[in-house]
Amino acid sequence: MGKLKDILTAEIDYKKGGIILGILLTLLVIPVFGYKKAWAFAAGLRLIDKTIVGLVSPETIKTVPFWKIMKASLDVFTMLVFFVIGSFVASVLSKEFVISMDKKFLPEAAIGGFLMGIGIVLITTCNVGCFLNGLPQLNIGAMIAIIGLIIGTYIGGKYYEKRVMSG
Amino acid sequence: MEKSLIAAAIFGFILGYIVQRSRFCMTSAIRDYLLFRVTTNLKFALITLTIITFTYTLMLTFNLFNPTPIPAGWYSFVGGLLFGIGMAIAGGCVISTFSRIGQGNINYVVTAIFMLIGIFVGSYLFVLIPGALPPKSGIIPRKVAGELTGPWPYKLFDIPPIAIGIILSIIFLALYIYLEKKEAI
Repeated sequence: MGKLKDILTAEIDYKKGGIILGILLTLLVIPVFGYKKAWAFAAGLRLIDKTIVGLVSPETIKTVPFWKIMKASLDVFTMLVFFVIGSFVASVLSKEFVISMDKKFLPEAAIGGFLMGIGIVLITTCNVGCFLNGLPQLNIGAMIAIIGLIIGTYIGGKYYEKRVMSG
Repeated sequence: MEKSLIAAAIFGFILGYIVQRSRFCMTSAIRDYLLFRVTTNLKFALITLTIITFTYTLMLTFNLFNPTPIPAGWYSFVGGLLFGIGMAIAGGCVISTFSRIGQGNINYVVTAIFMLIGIFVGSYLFVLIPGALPPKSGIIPRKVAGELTGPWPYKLFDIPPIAIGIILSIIFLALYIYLEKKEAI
């Protein structure tokens, strides 16, 4: 039992992690395992958004084309929820779970999230969908988005660096 | 319950677990290399990309799964740019945002809430994507998504995806070996 706990709470280094993730993402698309889609979270986020917007303003769902055209997926939403649960269980088992908040960085958290949301609409997927889904499928849209992602990360990273330095 | 939902739950749980224990983050992979020359997460991503580029293109070659439709154009670049700035200043991409929510970090709950607000506001910008709207009112989601899909190089040149996949996999592997060797010196 102690050994199993050691395995479950061990840190995974980048070599093992890269291989495990590669195998998992391959299994994800093999039809026999049931999921049959590459990894991305955008369709799950759209489902949350669509449900909330639908409750508050059903007219928006009917009139704004985005909600009619872009797919909102229950499968992806389920994966997103269990992804958070998996992270929660891992952090509890390894005694790393702690409710924390850094008030100084809340504006960055909000602005960053907002920009990511706009980006998701324009790319039609998230960064996982570009790097670990579109790119290995040789999709040109994902490749163009990745160029923007790298430049954007550099610009945002420079800001973040200055912000951290200034305390 | 549908098989796909059970599969989604199992894969989601394992992925969440692995990401938490490995601290994998795409923002960190790019930002840490560009700004600090720290390569841990970049090497992680390169190993994964080496494997999945080979397996995905192999499966595409034999039509074992449908490629994910992602449109291609100026909006892809602008979207990527905004997303990149956002994930860098928030301190985490979509993966690490949700992983850190699971670890109890409230800042990332705020990030996720504003991500949903961003998608709502952005939904009004969706019409800027050429071809996003079908010519007439009849809207068929999958077909439209199919038509929106950007061109794949192997379709342009009529070559099997695995041919490009092998080359790209070798490039990812070579980059990984280069980084490992450079750090070993």
